[in-house]
Amino acid sequence: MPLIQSAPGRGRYLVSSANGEKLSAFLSELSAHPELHLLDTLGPSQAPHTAVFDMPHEQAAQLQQKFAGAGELMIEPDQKLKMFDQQAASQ
Amino acid sequence: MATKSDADKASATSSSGANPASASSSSGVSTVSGLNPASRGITQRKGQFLIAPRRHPGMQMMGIAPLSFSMVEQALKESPDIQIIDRVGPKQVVGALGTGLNEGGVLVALMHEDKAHALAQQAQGQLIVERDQPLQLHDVGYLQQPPLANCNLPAAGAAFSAEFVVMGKGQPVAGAEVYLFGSMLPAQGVTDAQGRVRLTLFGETATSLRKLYVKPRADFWSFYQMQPDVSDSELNMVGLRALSDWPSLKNFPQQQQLTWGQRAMRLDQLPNTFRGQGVKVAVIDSGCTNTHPDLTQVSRGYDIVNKSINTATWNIDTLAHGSHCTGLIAGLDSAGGIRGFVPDAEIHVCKLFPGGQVSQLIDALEYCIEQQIDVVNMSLGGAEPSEALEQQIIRAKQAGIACIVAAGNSGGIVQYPGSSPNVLTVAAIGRVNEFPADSYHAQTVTPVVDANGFFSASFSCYGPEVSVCAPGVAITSSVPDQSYAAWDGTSMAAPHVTGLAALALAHHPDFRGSGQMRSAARVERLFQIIKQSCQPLMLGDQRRTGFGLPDTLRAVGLAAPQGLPAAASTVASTAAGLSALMNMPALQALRMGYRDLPALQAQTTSLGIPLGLMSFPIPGNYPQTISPGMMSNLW
Repeated sequence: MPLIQSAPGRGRYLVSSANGEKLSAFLSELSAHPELHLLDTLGPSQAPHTAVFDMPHEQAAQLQQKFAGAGELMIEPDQKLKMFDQQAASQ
Repeated sequence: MATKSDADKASATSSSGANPASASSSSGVSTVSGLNPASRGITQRKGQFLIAPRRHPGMQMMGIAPLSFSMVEQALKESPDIQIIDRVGPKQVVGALGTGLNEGGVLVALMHEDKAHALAQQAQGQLIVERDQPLQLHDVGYLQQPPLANCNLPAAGAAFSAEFVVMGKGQPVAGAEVYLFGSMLPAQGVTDAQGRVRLTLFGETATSLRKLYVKPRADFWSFYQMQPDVSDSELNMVGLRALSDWPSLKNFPQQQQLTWGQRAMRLDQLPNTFRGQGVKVAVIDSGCTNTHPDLTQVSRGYDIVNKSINTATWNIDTLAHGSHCTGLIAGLDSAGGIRGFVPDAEIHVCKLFPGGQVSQLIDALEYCIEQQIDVVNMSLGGAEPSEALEQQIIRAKQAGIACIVAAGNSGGIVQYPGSSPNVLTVAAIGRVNEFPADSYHAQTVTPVVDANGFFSASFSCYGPEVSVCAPGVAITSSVPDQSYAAWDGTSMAAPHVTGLAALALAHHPDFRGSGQMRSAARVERLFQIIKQSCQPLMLGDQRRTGFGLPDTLRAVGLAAPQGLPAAASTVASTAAGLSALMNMPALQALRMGYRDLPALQAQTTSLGIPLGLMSFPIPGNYPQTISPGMMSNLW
């Protein structure tokens, strides 16, 4: 998935659940959140467990609060990874 | 304060430029025929040192009179290698040197590092010899190491500009990265087709240069010089050593070699029929160039970065990192190049660099679950733990996938996912005499070196999460297009263990019959076998080495696990868990106990054995009683 550069004030976030049905239910209600741009879903095609969104940071914070109460869905930033060779450290 | 004299500079230039014979085979030297005759080799310039008689009260109480300052000064003046440039009076306190001075003061002298070291040794503690350290302003801008900049920095003050030519095997080396560090911003450039690059540092002088680092793309050793003697008026030449100039890589790559790390893990003693056939290994990295002669058998993969356009571009590896890792794991067994641990394993490449996001790693693991991969190599990590990724790692483990993860290179705590309890985490070690002293690899050596020459790599992350350690300094492997490079990193250590894990899965008796069923239990048993195969290393801090260096012969069941008599090997390999644990050497069992304390407690409770009363027989020693409190102190 080519990375899409988020606009200022927005970022990539992962919404995931150990229970695929909960995520499917959340995805079915996306029309209620027009500011959430679904970029990808990860996991078995019929029952994805993770969704990748581009959304405003404020919206992410609100969802985090909402999810924390129910404890079924999680949201977190889609962090960058790096390779562990010593090229950078040697400079 | 005086600086290096012109006479000294001229002498250094002359001596370094008088050795053309060695220009093609050794680093940092001399002129080359056909090149600008004014070129000069890079050597270490003389450093500035502070010297003073030590006047410790304890020495006087023992009847040892301090050396006379004038005598010391006279002796230094008579040494042709030492140049006294200043004498600081007793009222000018310079750190600890100024304490208790009654006579003379502190001498400031120019000499080479080895001369200063010899001087301190000869004085047997009666002379203080220390480098005259550069000082920094303690504002935030100076405390933080600035990012590398290119050679087009905005002008600010006086400029120091120098031209370099990088040569190897008598030819210019194009594409080599050259870094010149001063006291502030470094300059960076890449050599052109003639092997040349000009670097400019602002606000620096020849005497404020701190280090020169030359990093070739491939086929040569790097070059690293502290306090380099760089000229701004002559062409500075850096001669690189070819990888094949190193004794253990003689005739490489025409003649096949193993890495020093593979030999240290006894891959060279493994029968040739143990080749990892039937095992699926995935390398989640930057791709893999399968036109490289060592990697032509790699035919399966998934480009996650390019997922929406073409997933088949996994075999384009612009960063070379994935090709390097894959070569260590599965390099072809052919006449030349580097042979991997499992040349007959089925290799899958998941490409997620350049780029690399947690979401892409989750996607890569999904591919691994679908493809029923057995072992995954992850020479990567991020800054923070991820719950979404952890869930996926658990799914993978439940699907029978063993994740082997690099600990990280920050030199601090283990990074995620190396810190996950559901993976096998690998720290990096090096071995002295496996790389040239003037290569960058020498900078990774830490103070504790064991009898076999092993040391914990300075960059390696450490902590109780480290399961094992593996070779990760000066590791030679395949890089695009058809070359080889010697690299450092826990990235290079992890593939050594991934290859060994694949060998164990393919050939250890425990993974035949019902033992080969894919499950989390199989992953746990594999991790246990790898830990039990380890040769413990005593490098000062067990958090840096975990159980130690895994051993190939033990991992496939051809030799008894560490600490077990040969007759007990079969028992240990079939009776997993506590029975094996209780026959281990005490220290190793304690390490396992620390990491797996909850499981250990459950096992001992079920057997009616209070953990605090467990005894561990030590070969040639006596049974010890271990308490959980002792465990927490071991790390």
